[in-house]
Amino acid sequence: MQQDLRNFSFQQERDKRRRRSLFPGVSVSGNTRTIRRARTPSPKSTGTRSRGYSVFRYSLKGNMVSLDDPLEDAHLVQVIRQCMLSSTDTEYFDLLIPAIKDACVQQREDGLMMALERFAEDKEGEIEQMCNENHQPFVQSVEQVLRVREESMTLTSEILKLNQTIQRSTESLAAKKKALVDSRGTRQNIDEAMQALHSSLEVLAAANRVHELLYEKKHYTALRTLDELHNIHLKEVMHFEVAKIIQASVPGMKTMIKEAVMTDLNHWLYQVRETSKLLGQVAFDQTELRRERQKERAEKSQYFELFKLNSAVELVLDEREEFDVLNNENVMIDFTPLHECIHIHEALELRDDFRIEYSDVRRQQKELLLPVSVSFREDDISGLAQVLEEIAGFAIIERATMRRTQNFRAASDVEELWISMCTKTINIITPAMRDITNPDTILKIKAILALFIQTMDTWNYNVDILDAFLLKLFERYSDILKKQFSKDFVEIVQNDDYMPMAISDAEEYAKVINVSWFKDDRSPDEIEYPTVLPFSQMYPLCCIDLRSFLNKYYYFSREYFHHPHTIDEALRVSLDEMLKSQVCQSLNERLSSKYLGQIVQILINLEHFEIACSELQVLLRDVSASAHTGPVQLEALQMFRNEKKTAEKRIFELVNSKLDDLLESAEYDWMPETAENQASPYLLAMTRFLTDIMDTTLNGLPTDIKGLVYFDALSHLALEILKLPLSDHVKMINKNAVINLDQDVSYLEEFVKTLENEGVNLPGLFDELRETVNLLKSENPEEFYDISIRMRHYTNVNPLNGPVLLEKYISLHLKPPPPPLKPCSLLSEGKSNPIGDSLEEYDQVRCNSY
Amino acid sequence: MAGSRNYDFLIKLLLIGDSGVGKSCCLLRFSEDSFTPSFITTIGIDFKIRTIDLDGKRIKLQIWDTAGQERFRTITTAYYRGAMGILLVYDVTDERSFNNIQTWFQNVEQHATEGVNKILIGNKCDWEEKRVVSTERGQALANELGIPFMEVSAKANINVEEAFLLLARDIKKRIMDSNSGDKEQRGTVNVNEVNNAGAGKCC
Repeated sequence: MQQDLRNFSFQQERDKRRRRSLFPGVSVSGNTRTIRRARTPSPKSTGTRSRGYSVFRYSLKGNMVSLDDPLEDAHLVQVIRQCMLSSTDTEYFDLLIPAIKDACVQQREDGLMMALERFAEDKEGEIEQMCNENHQPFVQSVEQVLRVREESMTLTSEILKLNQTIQRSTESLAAKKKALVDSRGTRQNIDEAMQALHSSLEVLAAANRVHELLYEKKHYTALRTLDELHNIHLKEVMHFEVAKIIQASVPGMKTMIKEAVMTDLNHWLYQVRETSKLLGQVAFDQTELRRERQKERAEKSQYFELFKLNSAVELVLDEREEFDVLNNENVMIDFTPLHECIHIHEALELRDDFRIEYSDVRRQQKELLLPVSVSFREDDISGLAQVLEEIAGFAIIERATMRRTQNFRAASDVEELWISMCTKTINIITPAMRDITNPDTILKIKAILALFIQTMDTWNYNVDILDAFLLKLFERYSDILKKQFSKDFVEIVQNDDYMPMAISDAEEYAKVINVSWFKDDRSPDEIEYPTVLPFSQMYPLCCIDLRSFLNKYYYFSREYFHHPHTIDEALRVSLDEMLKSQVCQSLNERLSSKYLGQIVQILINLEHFEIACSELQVLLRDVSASAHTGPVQLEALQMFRNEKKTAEKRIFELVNSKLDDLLESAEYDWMPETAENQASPYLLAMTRFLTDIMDTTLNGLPTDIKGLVYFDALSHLALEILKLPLSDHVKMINKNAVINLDQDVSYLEEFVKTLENEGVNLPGLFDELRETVNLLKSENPEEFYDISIRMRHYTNVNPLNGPVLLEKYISLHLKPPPPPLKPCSLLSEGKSNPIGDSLEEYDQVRCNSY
Repeated sequence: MAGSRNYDFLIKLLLIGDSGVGKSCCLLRFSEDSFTPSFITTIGIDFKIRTIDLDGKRIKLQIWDTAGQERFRTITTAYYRGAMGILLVYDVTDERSFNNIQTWFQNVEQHATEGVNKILIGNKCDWEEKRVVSTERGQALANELGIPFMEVSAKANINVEEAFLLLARDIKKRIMDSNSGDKEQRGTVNVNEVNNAGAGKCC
């Protein structure tokens, strides 16, 4: 039974599989009875019945097999049963097929067939029974099946309906879904656009920022921003057209930045140019303050005097004074624009270009700085001062730029500018200097140049070229001084009164003593005013000038001058030259004067100038600026000495010529009838004149020179008197004439004696005259020819003149007296000479002779 | 006698007057025909010689120049006695020097030889703008003193020569007058004397 069930299940299973495709999800299990009942044909299920019949037929056929051998049959049945029991079709066939095969082999197919038919008949009986038993439930089942079928039909249509409904709703869903997908795409696009816009905005903002920064003059930030824009922001949005435009504008913007900084720089350069003069002034003031401080230090301690301005010691000592000429209450120079410009150009990698450009600009500025010429008209040096201030300001800025930047300003460039400025300055001063006639103007120029040099030296500029120029300036100064003082001296010499200087009071006296090198033998207390000093006023006036000349030379070296020896030497030469050519020579020219008084005064002045000269030599050595100088020699000293001799000679000459004039009126009668008892009137006049001029005109002469004047005059006189009887015009001399001559010689001897008593030593002046007269007076004049007697008594008589005179005298005694000579003139007749010197003497002589 | 003598007659003149009136300048003009605008003052005494030709005679003029300053008065006064002619000089631009002529004249009267020839000289007559003493006053003073008068200018060379010659002629006339009586031999002089007298009035 179980086997049946199994078969049935197997059948069912197969049906189930067939149906399943038609009614999915509808379970048909548990209806085995129903299907077994369907063996009975039912009008309602034709299809199914027909199938059932075929199964039946198979089973019937099996039952019809006849079994010949019982044993065999039993075995076959066993096999069939086993087959039926097999759980699967494969097992079923695995058991059946060998059985069929065995049957075929043993020729027992009939047996098998019969076994199988029997088995099928058995089974059919079972089924029939079952169907009889389960007919009712089967029908019910069929009915149920039908109902189920109906319901399932309904369900199917409903499902179809539902399906349609679902189909419809899915369509809208699909549409919505599509819309959704579309929206999503749009949204993504929007997002991307926004992103792009954002980036672009950033780029634009950056670009704008560049402009704003430019406007705010934050050039470097602008450049940084631009770089950032170029290198970062733009790259992100390069695919946009706007980015390309901006990209294209980057070089332009860079140029703009460059131009902006250059504009700033130009503005700065302009300001710097405007300020450079003030800067120069401040720097000069600063140098002056330093000078003062150095002076104060030197006053406090002599040790500091050793150190000049700009010496290491001075610089260290002055370090305490902190003053920045570039940053103070007057001047404020901010190098930021320059630094920024350098920075920007560095960033633009244009540093070298900029360096060259800047250098060119400064060169041009330098050219503008210097005027074509300067003028010192009316001793006004402010023009030059301004130029120097400008240059100082310019050069200080150059140096400061060098110090504040690195490898920006080439030292050679700055040096070249500096040298060029110095050279040009010198070139414009030099021609203007020629018109200067006032030495003080040169001093002013020197002072401002010195201040300039010291200031620039502080800033480490080479000032050699200027130092050298100071020498030129000094030469000019020296020339002007020489000219000026020469003029002064000439004027003084011209306007002098050649009279001993009258001093009215102690104050005037002190003044003269102070300026001159005169040493009075008298003490100031014993002087009674008005008094007279030996020299004329030209001497103190010249002394004032000489001292002033000397001082003015050294004025030049005040504060700053590196050529002290030049000054010493130039001063010595100039002073010597001046003394020689202006003082000494001018005086010498006046020696031709016929005013004895003037010549005497010149001699006295020369004497004082000689003393002044030696004093000047000492003074020159003492004030000499250079440390090691030997004794100073002035050639003028010797010249004054020589001129003194010339003056002396000239005095002798003049006095002698006066004596000659008087001697011309000596009218000796060599054949007088009577002898006079008094000296000739011309001699009286002559000695009086000599004494008088000695007391007046020649009074100021030194005693020794006075003695010389007497000596020279009297020896000249002796010579001239001796010439008178020797003259060819005198043919004979009588005794009376010899007596008269003897009288004159005695008078002169007496006069000399008086002078000797006064201290004038005039030895042997009239010895020849005396001995000659003695010879003529002698009782034995022929003794002259006895050499021993001559050597004893007439040693001074000229050996030639003696015989000549003796002959004239002797011939008189040997021959009869000749007739008296014809008188030369009306008034010279007679023994005495009424016009000899004066009427008074004439009268006197006449009276005496009577 | 001196055979070399180069003159016939020696006349000694004397210049007096205040300091600065121009005595030395007049003398320089007369003796050397030159002028120096110097400030040189004569100290003490000086003299110059000039030989002139007067009516065919060589006259040697020995002209003594004195210092005008008071301090030399003692020395200069001693020379009055020897003088044959005296020139009293004042400065037409200096009232004081004119007023002092009286004093100088008294000095002459006191110290000079009696009968000495004199002449009043007003120097600097070219300097009209500075003039303070008129020609008339000068002439009036000369008349009062009974002596000849001349205005001269050493600088402009006006009348200097004439003044000296006038005086020299007067002296020559006087001396010759006195001598012609004493010494008859000097006949030649008498002839000259007539000429002198005529020439002396030329001024």
